[in-house]
Amino acid sequence: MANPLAASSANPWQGLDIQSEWERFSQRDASAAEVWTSHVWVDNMHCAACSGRIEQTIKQQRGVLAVQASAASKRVRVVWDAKQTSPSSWFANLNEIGYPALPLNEYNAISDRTVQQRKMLWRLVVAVFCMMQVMMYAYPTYWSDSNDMAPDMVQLMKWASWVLTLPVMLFSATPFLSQAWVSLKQRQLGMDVPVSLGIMTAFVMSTLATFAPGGWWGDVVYYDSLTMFVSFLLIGRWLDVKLRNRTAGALENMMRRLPHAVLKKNADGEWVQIAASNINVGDVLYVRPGEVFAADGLVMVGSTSADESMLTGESEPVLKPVGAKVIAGAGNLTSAIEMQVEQVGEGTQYHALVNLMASASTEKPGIALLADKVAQPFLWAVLLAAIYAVIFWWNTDPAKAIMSAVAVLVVTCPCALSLATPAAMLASAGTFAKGGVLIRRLQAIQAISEVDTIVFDKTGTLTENLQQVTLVETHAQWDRQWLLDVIASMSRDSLHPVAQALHAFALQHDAQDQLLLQDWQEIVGGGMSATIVTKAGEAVRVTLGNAEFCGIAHEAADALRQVYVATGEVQLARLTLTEQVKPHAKAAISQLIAHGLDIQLLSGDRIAPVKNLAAQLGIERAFGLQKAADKLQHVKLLQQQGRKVLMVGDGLNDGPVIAAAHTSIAMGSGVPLTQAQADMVVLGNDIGVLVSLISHCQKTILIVKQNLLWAALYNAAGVPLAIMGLLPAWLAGLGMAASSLLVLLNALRLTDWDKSGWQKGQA
Amino acid sequence: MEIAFLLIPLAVLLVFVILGGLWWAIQTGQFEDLEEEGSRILEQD
Amino acid sequence: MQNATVKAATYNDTVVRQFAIMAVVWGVVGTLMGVIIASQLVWPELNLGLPFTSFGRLRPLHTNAVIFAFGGCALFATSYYVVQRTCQTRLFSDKLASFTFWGWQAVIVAAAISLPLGYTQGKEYGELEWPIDILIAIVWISYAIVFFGTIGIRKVKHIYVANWFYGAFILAVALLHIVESAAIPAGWFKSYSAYAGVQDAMVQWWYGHNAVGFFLTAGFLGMMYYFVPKQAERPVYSYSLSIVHFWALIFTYMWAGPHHLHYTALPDWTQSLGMVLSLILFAPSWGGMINGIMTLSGAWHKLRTDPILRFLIVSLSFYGMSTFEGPMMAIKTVNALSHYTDWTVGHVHSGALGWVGFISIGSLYFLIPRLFGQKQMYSVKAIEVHFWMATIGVVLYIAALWISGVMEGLMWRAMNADGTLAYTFVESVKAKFPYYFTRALGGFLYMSGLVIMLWNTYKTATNGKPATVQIPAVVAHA
Repeated sequence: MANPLAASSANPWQGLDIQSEWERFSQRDASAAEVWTSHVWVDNMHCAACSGRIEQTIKQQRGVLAVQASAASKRVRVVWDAKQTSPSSWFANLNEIGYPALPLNEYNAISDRTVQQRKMLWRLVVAVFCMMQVMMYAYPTYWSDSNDMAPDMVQLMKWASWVLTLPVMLFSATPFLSQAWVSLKQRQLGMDVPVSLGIMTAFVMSTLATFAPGGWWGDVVYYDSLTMFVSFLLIGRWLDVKLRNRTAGALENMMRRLPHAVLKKNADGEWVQIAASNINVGDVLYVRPGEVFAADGLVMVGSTSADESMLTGESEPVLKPVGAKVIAGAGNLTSAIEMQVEQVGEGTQYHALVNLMASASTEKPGIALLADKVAQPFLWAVLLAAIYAVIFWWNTDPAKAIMSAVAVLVVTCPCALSLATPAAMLASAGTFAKGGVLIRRLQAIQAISEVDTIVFDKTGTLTENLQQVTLVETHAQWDRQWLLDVIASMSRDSLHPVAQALHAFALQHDAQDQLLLQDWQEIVGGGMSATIVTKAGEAVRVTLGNAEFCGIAHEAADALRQVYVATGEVQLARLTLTEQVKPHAKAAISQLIAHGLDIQLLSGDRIAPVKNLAAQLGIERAFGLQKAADKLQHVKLLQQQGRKVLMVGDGLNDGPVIAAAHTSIAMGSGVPLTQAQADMVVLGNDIGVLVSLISHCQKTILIVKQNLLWAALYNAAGVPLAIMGLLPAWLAGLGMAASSLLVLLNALRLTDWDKSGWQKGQA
Repeated sequence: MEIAFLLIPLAVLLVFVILGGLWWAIQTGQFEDLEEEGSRILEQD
Repeated sequence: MQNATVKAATYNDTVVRQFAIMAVVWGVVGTLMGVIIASQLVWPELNLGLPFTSFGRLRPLHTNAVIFAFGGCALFATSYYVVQRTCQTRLFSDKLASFTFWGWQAVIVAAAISLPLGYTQGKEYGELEWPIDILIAIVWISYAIVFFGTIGIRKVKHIYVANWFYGAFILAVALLHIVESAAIPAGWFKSYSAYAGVQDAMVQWWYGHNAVGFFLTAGFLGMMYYFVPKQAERPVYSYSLSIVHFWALIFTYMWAGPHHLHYTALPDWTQSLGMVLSLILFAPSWGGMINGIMTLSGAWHKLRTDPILRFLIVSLSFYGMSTFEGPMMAIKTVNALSHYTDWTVGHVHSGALGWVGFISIGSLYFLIPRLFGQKQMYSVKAIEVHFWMATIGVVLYIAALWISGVMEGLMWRAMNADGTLAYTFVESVKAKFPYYFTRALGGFLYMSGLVIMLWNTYKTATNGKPATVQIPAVVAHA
């Protein structure tokens, strides 16, 4: 791996100590200026025991405030104080304990990963092919009559098997052996220790039996069991890598998305290629169709359409004329453009999204924390059980004693236990990410699976952003078409969404927006006014806006929003704006209700329209005129009744309510990710996703429980059998491998997420 | 069955030779992006 | 004469053309030999009372002609074609390639003369005497140099899976041939095997089985992995599976040989080992077959209109059938019935006629028009007729011998209550008469199909002219 930072001799990581370098993989803490959060990649972190050790070791270092290691995604999050420590010192520390780290967000981490993956496949292939060959030589000794084979032939077979086992020991099994060695040097017990002990013991016993038969170790060889065990362990590891690829795939894709080099216009107006890391705000870049925007910015020349689905969840291409904002990570679809950079690196929305996903994958769900706690005592218990097996059998048959111990070591290999939770959680998180659902905290999966009450805290979540305008009434003495012209003209230049809706509505009804307006004014929170010459040639001051602004005393109450056109205090026209229910909302709500969830709607809007909307959707309990404090009160009340509440909203402004709720989901295409407080963020507008999301979370937890139960049962059954000497080493290996495989395959079921509705077969 | 003393070492040797071929193939990236390679033969004639 | 630069930019299809034509010619000759000896079994007078035309001398001529002359030429032709197309480069050496053609034809002619004259080492599929063996070795090494040399100068980074199969076939056959043919010469036309007794038997069937495995399977799988996708115009169903198929096959095939020696002086554990490895072989074989057949998924309708594709796909079904039947017959209890009976002969022919023959015929029908600058064969209708004659021929052949073999095995082991044999040997021979007739008929049909193919090839060749194909510009990913 070509690491540019490896130049310095004393501490190869010193290069990271420059702030601009560590900024590439770290974020400054919002509260404390010198506190940084960094994400690093540790490739050989395989199990709960590994991550536990990394956490313990690094946490002890001065200046490191918090460490969180996730074996399932091989990521470590380190929170550290720049005044007290520097990245190089904890990088060196990680290296010392046998877990070399790579700064995340650096491309070489990914290419290194393909090398690692290739090597893992290679180890597996060697192990499997050598196992097949060893099996071939082992077979005749098992199945021939004792006198059928000449002793020299048996001996020849043993030698051949020994030679074929060597590559397995020296190459295929090295990840386990070296990991075990490193952790023993640390005076700690890693997951690989019992496994390696088992492998080594079986190999030594067999070697003795091959070259010096007849000692207390007997003359039975275990090359077949040994190679098979290593093969199965490697199959587990390899699948693990594959699974990670699939689950972490979305994240990886995100990170790999930005181009490495871009075309920049230099001072002479020529296009030169520069590294993406050297882009500065203000640069003008040339982006060809098919490329990905490297930074946020504005289109200067040309127009195109962009694919922003990764960032917004909207699959429709977005038109980008001159002056439009393009965002880093979006794809340029149709034609080449020039853009001016406004935001680069951490300032971009893309960067926020990547970090959001990265932090979600390092946070541990409650169940996983439990597995971490259990890992160390469990490994000790395994060793004790193995020693017990040796003592128990030693007097009867030393060879059997040793091999029973090997069986204990092998059968308890806690792969299944440590894979149970993360495999399922990550499979779901990856699936969600691909489907436009981002998870800020993995706990959310568990929390969402438990909810019984869903509270929508905005009507906007259930309705379209587009507002439907109706012209309810016009003054009898005024020309209706002229009034539409007035509306069109007055609203033409306003950026307010309501004004834009009115403008569009008027134009649809054949209005012209070219009336001469004198002294046009827009009052924020009110409306606009202008002096217009009527058809009769009379100049009148016209107002367009809400009732208060237009001086209307008695406001009608049949719609959420009313807009008036008035002159003086005379009402010339009244329009209503109604929000349309989202297409799938009604079906989604009724499905949720059908599955026993209580749906409530809290809104700050007036009571009547809220009730009206709720009735349309089939929501029984709807409350209007709710202020933030009322919502909080409401949620707390529900919780006092023992309800588990899921808040669904845009995730903004409602900090206290969201904090109080059991868990929360933010949805809507316009949600600024950086500010969203919710545990999960659903990109896009489709409320139907909510249904399948909840059912998929339930399915995930179900699978976690199945996995944990299976791992526990398997160990409970395997250990006594092994101690009693009833479990041959090969069967122990098979059992170990099968249990891990089962856990992984079970988790893989979660990569299939049917977004269309409640998933069948679930509670 | 003295022939076994020739054939079995030969067989072991052969396994290493075949593994060598496999090593070369994996190492030089022969097995990356496999499905694309499968369709390439259809492109030309 | 073309100049050197032009030559470098085109494929060497001359040698492919030569081998392709000779494959068809030897196909007719080899099956004709087969029909003759099959008829001799029905009407013994056809021996003509001459030593040169006796069954014992013509039978090795038949096997050598179909396997090494027909099969060999088809493999040379297709491998030279495929390696150039998939590597996008001209053959490594035109001269050496030309030498392999003339050398190989010399071997075949030498075999056709020496075998009827009675010169033989007496080893099945390895009958040829030592001077011819040496010529074979030289030709084969040249073949390996041309093939691997071409791979060495390839313009495409990836080596297509068909080349892996061809490569394994070339290397393994070289190894097998050298080990098997090790002999001590006693004069120009006589030699003694370097091995003695059961060792010789062991080596013979290690060779014999692997000749099937690497010559008649690996090589033709290479053909399958190129011509089935090409003709179906879709990529291999699962390319990854084809890679796994390859490695699994070469790792397991080598040591299944002892099943040919069940119930012999070979140690019992060796026989059992051979049996187990033969059973394991079933998995990769069927993996390959399914992969080949599924390549057609979504294009099944093409089978209705395309007789070439039908040849290719039916060959795969025969491959699947034989690789199921083979491991079954390697089970010692089944083998106790089948061994030394016609069942074995039927099994071999379902593989040889059905799998090897059909895949070669299909591939040649794909190849020949392209080699002569034609869109398709002179008569597609004739291919259709050929397909049906060949299919009916194979079915008649293997069904007849299957029945005859099982009947024969049962008759041999049938015992009276007092422990004496229920039938004399000659009774079992008499009982086989109708099946031998059917077999000869099936063989005749199959041969007649090949005669039609020869005519069709002649017409196609004379209608067109030898085509020179440009090597396409190297694509960026090379």
